[in-house]
Amino acid sequence: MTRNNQNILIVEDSADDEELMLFALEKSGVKKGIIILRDGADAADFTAAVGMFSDRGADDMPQIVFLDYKLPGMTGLEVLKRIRSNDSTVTMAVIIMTTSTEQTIEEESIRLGASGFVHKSQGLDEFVDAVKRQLIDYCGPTP
Amino acid sequence: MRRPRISSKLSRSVKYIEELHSELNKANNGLLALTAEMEQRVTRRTEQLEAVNAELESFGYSVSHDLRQPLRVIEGFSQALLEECQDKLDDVGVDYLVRICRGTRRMADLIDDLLNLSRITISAIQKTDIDLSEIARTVIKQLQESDTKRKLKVEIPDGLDAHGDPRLMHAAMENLLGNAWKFTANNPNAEIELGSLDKKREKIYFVRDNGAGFNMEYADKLFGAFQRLHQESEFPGTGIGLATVQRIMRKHGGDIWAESEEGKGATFYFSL
Repeated sequence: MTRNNQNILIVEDSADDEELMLFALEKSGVKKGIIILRDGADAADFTAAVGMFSDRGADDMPQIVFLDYKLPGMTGLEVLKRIRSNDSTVTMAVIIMTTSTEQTIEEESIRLGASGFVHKSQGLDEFVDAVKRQLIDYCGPTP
Repeated sequence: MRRPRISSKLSRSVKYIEELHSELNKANNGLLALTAEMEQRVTRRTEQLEAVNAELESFGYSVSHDLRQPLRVIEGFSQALLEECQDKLDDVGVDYLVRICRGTRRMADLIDDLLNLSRITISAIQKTDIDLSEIARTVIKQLQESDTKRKLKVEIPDGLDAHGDPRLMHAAMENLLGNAWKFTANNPNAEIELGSLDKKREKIYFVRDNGAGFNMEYADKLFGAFQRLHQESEFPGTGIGLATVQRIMRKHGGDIWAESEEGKGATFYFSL
């Protein structure tokens, strides 16, 4: 699998965190195929192609989701549960992202089926590296 | 004729005693009621205090937690600026930016340590039989991996058993051995030792090093949060580590104290 036609979904309500995430993706060689949603319920609908996203094309199916843990309304873990309970997205790579260093969040995420975990609170270089690692694991090496 | 007089005297006395008795009973009941009320009041106050304490602890936790987010933005974008726009800044500008980055990193470390401290205060303690030697070896291995150039002698006896919370004791050993590691950095023949001694049926454990040590005059400051006895440039740190260890030991019903001679090393004793 190469990174040519990848779709990366970012679910993030903070504009600052979104910008830092885009910075990390750029540093990882990702330039296109990035979808940004700010709401958990939208993310759940988008991945399942239901509701206002019922006409989402199969081509737009994300290969990897970077999902913020702390979202207003439907939380990151609730979105994760929705993704895991849907047959078409049960194996989708979902990476939970959080500023918190609380160990239990990571444990809970893994228990609910998260594919990976990225701490946002580390230094920028470490954060970029962590995002890069997830991309290599789930989308293959940079073309 | 004396009998009736005695009898009436006696009956008066009996009546008097009965009256006294009833008064005493009344007083006694009053006292009992008062005691019960006092007890109730103490219980109520204790409950209030505990609630306020818990509230304060969780407030401290949330504050540290929520401070982390905006700090991350400052830290992230300062670093991004340094990486992406360095060529647009002159040397002074770069120096300022480096200082901002360093400051935010330090604040991030402080907040993380504070979070750890309040996490330990909030968390329930779960005691079980633990192997302190094993925990210490894991911690030393991590330290050695973090700095492979350091050469030092580490003495950890086998099977040093203790009864404590494994997670909390791991955190405590991380701090104590981490300190020993840090403060022996300038000693080419650095030695760190973990051991125990029996004192009055109580087991005392210790972590000893031959590092920088500290002035015993300031020993009482050692375990206060944010208290530091060395210059930041000499031995970096937030000053929260030993406060955390003390909280862990006290949570176990134990304590921690230290002995040292400046320039010769320090020994930290603890009981559980």
